[in-house]
Amino acid sequence: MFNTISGRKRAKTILVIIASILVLAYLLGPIYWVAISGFQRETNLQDRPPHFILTKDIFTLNHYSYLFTGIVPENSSVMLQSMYTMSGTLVYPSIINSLIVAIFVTFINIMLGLPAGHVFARYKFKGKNPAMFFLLATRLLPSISIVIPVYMIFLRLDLIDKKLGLILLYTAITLPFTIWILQAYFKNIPVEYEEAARMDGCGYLKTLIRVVLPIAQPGIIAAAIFTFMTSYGEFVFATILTQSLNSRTQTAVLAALTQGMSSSRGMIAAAASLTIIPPMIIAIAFRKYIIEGLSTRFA
Amino acid sequence: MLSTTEKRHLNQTTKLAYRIIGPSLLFVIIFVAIPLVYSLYISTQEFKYGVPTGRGIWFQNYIDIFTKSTVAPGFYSSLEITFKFTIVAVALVMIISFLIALLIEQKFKGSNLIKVALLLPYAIPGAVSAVIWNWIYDPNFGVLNGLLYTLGFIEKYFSISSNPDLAIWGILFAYVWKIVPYSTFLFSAGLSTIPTSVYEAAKLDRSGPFRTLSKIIIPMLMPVIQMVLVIQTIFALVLHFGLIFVITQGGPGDSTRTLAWHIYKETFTFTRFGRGAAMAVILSLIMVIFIYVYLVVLNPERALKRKQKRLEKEAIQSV
Repeated sequence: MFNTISGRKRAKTILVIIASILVLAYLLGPIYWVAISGFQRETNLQDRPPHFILTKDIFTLNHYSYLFTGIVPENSSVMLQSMYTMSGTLVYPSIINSLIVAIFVTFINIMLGLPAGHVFARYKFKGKNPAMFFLLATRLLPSISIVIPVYMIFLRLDLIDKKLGLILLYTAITLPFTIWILQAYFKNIPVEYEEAARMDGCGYLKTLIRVVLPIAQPGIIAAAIFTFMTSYGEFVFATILTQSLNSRTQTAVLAALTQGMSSSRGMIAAAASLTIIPPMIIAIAFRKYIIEGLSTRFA
Repeated sequence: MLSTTEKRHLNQTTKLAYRIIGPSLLFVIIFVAIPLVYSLYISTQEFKYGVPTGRGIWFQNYIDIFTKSTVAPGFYSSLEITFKFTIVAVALVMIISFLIALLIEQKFKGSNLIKVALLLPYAIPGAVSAVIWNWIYDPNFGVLNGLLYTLGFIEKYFSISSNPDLAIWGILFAYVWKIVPYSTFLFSAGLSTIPTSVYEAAKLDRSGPFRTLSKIIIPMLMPVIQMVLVIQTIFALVLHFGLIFVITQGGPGDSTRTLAWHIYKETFTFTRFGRGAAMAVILSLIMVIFIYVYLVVLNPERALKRKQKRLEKEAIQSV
């Protein structure tokens, strides 16, 4: 077999394999390391050199059991016990907060963004281009440049430390992108389908639900995922506009956790592993839609 | 000109359109547009100990930022750090993602695996990726130290986040890791539009791989490259914030105090709301330039229209 393949082709194959291994190690290495760190005993995490592979004699579930129950492992030394800082118990509820916020934002976002995207794709109306430019430009502006007034507006509207506040704000931040991605999607669908439905006497809403919705499904899924990811991972506003578990989301809790110099590294690693599970599951489950979305301009 | 019936029709659809897009516009106006205007207003106000004195001072905050001896140097240094960070980050992101995209385009069994692997750094929230990298960089128990030590590159563990020369590089590599997937898929999509006949023609001409890359692939990809360049610049100017918050807090010294971090500190640590808002306005103005280039100059529809106009003009002139 081998002598039929030219040497050059074989060299290329080897090069591709080596490059693939390097790329995979680069992309997955950090995730692998944090995942196995969460299952290592604190004392083993302090070994030099570290354990690159998880084995039975360094394995523990202590970090995870602390995150969920707040019970400090009994068999550890006083020094180790003091490393389990109280804020670790905030991680799990804050992930729930993040999920609640992200799910609400995604829902409102699609409800508003779907018809809006459709209108932008299908109709000529006065002020259409300025309206689109306005939406797109606001999406690209940095959150740090509006965080001060948003904070003040939230104070006045009594939205500080409320999930509702985050939901409204994130909806505003993510809507432009949803509208843009959906209108781009609708433009690729032949208008004849909708015209046929109209001929049959369907109203605007009925046409939207019966005809547009089913065809646009992949675009809607992509827009919903991007919205979910943005809301779930938002950090700047979360850290400034939330104070307690009323509304504090996981990014803010996790970032604060690392500021305690002496907190358990295993606990932090376990917390980080836990928070990345929901978005990673979504990313893998809907990979087709996300890759398609990321391949288009603007993502 | 539009006839009266057409005009009436346009007015009708305009009414209907705004009824449908109205709620979305309202959301964006209340939570983004009004804050932007409000930010402009705050930047012209005087604050003492975090409380507004009610005195409008017009552009004094801006003048202070650019000229006052106690304020300006800090601002300029943060600007310099931001620009340097942005240039290096964008260059690195473009090179790495282009190479990965070239690899994916080899269309072998593992290329789908790489695509899925790319989705993971993308899916991880920026602040959480900061926590992960902070643990990797850990000066006492971090895996980076452990790896270099095991391989014999270093004899002693060292700290990245407390070394003024290394800290910014630590932020940079963590940032690049998280942001690379965005441009890789764009490059990959661009590469897949180049027909295989082009490669075959290059092969027939005995063009080597580097010549094919520089003379054929890169010129054909130019629109994608320009787009990635601009959007990555927009990202790099601000999206490093979470990393700095978690890993270095702007330090050691001022070595990682970018403009975004500087604004945050001025505003929320020193409660100089007016000056913070003024700096935020300046940052927004810098970004508006790139946003304009991205949305208008590089807009494919507009570019097409410009090309048509130019061709028409040439046609008229040639007649």
